[in-house]
Amino acid sequence: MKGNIYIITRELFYILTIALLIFSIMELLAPNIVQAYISLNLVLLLWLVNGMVLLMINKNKI
Amino acid sequence: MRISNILYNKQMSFIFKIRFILYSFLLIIIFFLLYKAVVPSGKIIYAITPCDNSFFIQKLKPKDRLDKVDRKSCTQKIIGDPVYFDLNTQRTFNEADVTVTYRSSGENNVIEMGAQADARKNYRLHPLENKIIDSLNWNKISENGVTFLQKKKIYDNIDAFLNSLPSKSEIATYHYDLPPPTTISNYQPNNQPAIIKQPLCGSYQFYTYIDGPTAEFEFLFSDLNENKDADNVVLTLYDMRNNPVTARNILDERGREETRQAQDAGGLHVELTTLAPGFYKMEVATTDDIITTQILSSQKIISFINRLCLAKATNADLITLYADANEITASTLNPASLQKILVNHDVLNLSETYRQFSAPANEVLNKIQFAKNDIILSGAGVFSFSPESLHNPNYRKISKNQNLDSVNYIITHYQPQPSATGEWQTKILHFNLKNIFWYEHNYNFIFSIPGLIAGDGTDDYIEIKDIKIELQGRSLWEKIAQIFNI
Repeated sequence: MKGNIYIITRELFYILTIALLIFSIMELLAPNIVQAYISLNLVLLLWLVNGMVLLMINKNKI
Repeated sequence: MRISNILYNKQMSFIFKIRFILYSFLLIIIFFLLYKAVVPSGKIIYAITPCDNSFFIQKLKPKDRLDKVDRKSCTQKIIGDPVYFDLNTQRTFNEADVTVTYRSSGENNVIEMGAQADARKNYRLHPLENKIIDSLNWNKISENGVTFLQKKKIYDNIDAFLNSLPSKSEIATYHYDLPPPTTISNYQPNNQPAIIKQPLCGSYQFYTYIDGPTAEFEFLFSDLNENKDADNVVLTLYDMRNNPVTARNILDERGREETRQAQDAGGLHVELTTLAPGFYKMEVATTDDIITTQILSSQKIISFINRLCLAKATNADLITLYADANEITASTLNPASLQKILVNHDVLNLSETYRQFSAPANEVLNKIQFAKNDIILSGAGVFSFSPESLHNPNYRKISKNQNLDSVNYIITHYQPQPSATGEWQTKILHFNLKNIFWYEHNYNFIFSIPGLIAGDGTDDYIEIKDIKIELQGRSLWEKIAQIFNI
C-alpha cells in the first residue's frame, strides 16, 4: 500500500511536470490559451506540493 | 517463475495503469484547450451577468462610471457615459450577435452599443433605444429593415421617397446612410484665400467643397514636445465615399520629446488639380503635441466635423465660431480657460476642468462666442470660423436632444418600439466583425448613452442584467479548404 502511494505520487509529479511544460509552451505560443480555463499558478502550486510530498515519502523510505 | 519477478510484473502493470490514466487525462485537457481556442465549428457563445468573473467577456469599465454590482439581483448600473468591456477570443470571427438585457431609468433618449473599429478608437455604433423616434406618432413605413417616418403622409413607400427626396432641411437620419447631395447649387467660390489663424490642437477633420480646376491648402504645424512619443502628422483627403484621394505626411525626426519646448514642425502644402467637383473630407491625424498654427485655403468651405480643439494662444481676441449641431459641448483641461461661453443667447458655463458642459443650440446657424481658448468644443454637426465657411454635406442625424420642428421625414435602420421605461428589455444587435478592430486577442465594445454623466446629481442610469455574445466565423474545414484551395 505504501509502495503504491509512492508510485502514484511519483507518477503525479511526472505528469504535473510535463503538464506545466506543455502549458507554458502553449501560453508562449498563444497567450491565454491555457489561462482562460486553468490557472498556471495553481498547476505550479500543485506541482510544488506534490514534489514536497514525494520528497517526504522518499525520506521515510530511506 | 520467481516471486520477485511476479511482484515486479505486478508493479509494472500498476505503473502502466496509472500512467495510462494520467496521460489520457492530460491529453484530454490539451485537446479541450485546443478545441476551445480553435473553435472548429466556427461558432461559440459567451454569456455573463455582472456577478460573473469571465475571462472572455470582461468586466465593464471604468469603475467611476459604474455603480457597485448588486449581488442579490446580479445587475450593475451604468451611471456615466461611455462604458466599455472587452471580449477576449483566441481567434477572429466574422459576425457577432450581442444580446443585452437592460433597463433604463428613462431620462436618456439615446442608448447605443458599439464595437471599436480602428486603432484610433472610432466605434461602430448600433442603436439599442431611441426614445425620440419611439415617441413619434408619425406615419410609419417599414421595409427590409428600414423604417421611414413622415409627419404627414406624402410618400407611399420608401423607394418613392428615395427617388424624389425633399429639401435636405426637412430630412433627418438615424443609423442610415443617405447619400449626401454632391454639389451646392449657386456656389460662389472665394476670391480671397481663407486663413484660419486660431491654433488647433491634435487631430481634426473638415469638409471642404471643390468646384474649380484647382484647390490649394497649406498647413503650418508646431510641436509642443510635451509627450514622449514621436509626433508624426498624416494628412489625408477623402472623397465622400471615404476613399482616400491623396495623402501627405511629416515624420517627426526632430527629437526633443518631453523637453516642453515648442518648436516648428514644418508645414504641408496640398495642391489639387484633377479632382471631380464635390465635397471632400480632409483629415489631419496626429498627436495632441502637434498644434496647427495656421490653415490657408483657396476654398471657401472649411467645416470641422464634430469636434474642434482650440489650442492655447496668446493675445486671443473674442473668438466666434459657427455650428449646425443642436447641442454644443465644451470642456477644458486648463483652469485658466474656465469661462462663460455664449451659445446664441444662452450661457454655457464652463465651470470645471476635466468635465463636459452642454448647451442646446436650436438655430440653423448657431453662433458660439468666448474669450479664452484652450478648450474643446464638440457636437453632432460641423463647426466653422465664419458663417460662409459652414456647410454640412450630410443629412441631419438625430442626436439626444434633437429638435424635430423643421424635420418632416426620418429614415433609419432602427426599429421603433413602444416605450418600456423601467422594464427589463432584451435587445439583439448584429455586428459585422470583419470591420472591427481585434487587438491583443480582444474586441472592445462600448455602451454609449449621451448625456449620462456620473456625479451630476440626477439619478439616471442604465442597468445591465446580462450580456450574451454569439460568435460566428470560419470553421476549421473552411479554413483548411481555403489554405489548400479545395
